[in-house]
Amino acid sequence: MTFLLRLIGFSLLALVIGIGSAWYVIDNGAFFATSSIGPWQTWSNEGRLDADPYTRARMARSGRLPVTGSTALYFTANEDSEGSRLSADCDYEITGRPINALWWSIAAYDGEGQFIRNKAERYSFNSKNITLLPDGSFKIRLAPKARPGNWLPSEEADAPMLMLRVFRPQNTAEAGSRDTRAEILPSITRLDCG
Amino acid sequence: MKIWSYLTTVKLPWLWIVAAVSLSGVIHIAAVLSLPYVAERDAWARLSAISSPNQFYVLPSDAENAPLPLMAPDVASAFCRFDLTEKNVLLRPYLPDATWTLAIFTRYGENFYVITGAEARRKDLRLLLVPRERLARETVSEKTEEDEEQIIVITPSETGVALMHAPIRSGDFMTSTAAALNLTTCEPQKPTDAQLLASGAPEVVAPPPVAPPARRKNRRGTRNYR
Repeated sequence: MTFLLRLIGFSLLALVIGIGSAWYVIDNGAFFATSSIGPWQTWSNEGRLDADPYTRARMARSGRLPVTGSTALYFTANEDSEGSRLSADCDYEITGRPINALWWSIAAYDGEGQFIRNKAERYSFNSKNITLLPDGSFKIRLAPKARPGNWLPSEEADAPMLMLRVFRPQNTAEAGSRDTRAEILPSITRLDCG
Repeated sequence: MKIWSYLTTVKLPWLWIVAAVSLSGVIHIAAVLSLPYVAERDAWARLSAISSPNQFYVLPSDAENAPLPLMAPDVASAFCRFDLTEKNVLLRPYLPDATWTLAIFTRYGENFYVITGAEARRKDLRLLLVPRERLARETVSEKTEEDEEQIIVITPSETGVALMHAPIRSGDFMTSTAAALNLTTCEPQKPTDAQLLASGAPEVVAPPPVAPPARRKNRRGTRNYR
């Protein structure tokens, strides 16, 4: 009886640790597969034929088809620059300078990776439609309620997240996303929470 | 200190615990390695649910119908799930702008080929997808019998996805850009005259030459997904 109990406990422990740790790394990334640049995270080898097994597993689980790093870079953020989880209860200011690339865009999603439905039908700002400040920089306000300027609605999204896409970067990452410098990417500052 | 004294007094099955942790390492590796092959909601599965092979479809990217997660709201997209099991597949992407991109993926989402409007020498390209194994048996040329240039793309797998991306200014431009994406075609390669002769097929009288038609908006092989 003791042997049987130990065998069951042994198997359960092995399954929970084995699958739980695999899921954790695939969902949250790890130092050997992802790069963190300020609040932004990127899977350095996503989409590549020689990607590591964690990146391949991540791609299968995410359901995305990312283009490789020399053509497009993808950064996600679900935390602000202080490391606190983004919340639809709060206003955030995303500030930066236009990225030196053929095209770039910042989009907001809910925790499932779907667009945050809103009456304004606004889901992103990109290099072609963002309003710049007189000094050439930009400010985007991620907020649940309408705000003047570049307002990106977060509505009542559960665990909102941001994705920054950079298409054909120029001098942004000479050897891929690992070399992207933090000051090139926008910062995310929490303002007030409702 | 209390924990240590507890651990020294209580007799835990350490051998079992060490064995369980070791086995969890094996399970961890097996789970990571097998996930691409067992995932039921990867991009291939999601696109298979809404498409037939060897046809281009414009991907809906509105809030209600986005078939893939984290789709770009300001990028119009179209895709073709190609299947080279029987024949090579001919892609004719239309790349009128530097930012328009054709990316080709294996069935597991590995991006092995990409061309953008900035690199393409002409808007109207011809790409022939040939699996690596077949390349050794077949003669494929970078010039067609009609003396048209074609790019030979050697694919590491027989199935995969060709994906067109067209960044747009805002959602208002989605419909017009989707119409332009409709100019892209994806269809199995038709046998050449030489191949027909070699296979013993009866000779077909060629129709009189006519001027090549202007690109039509909805060429055969292209459909809207709705």
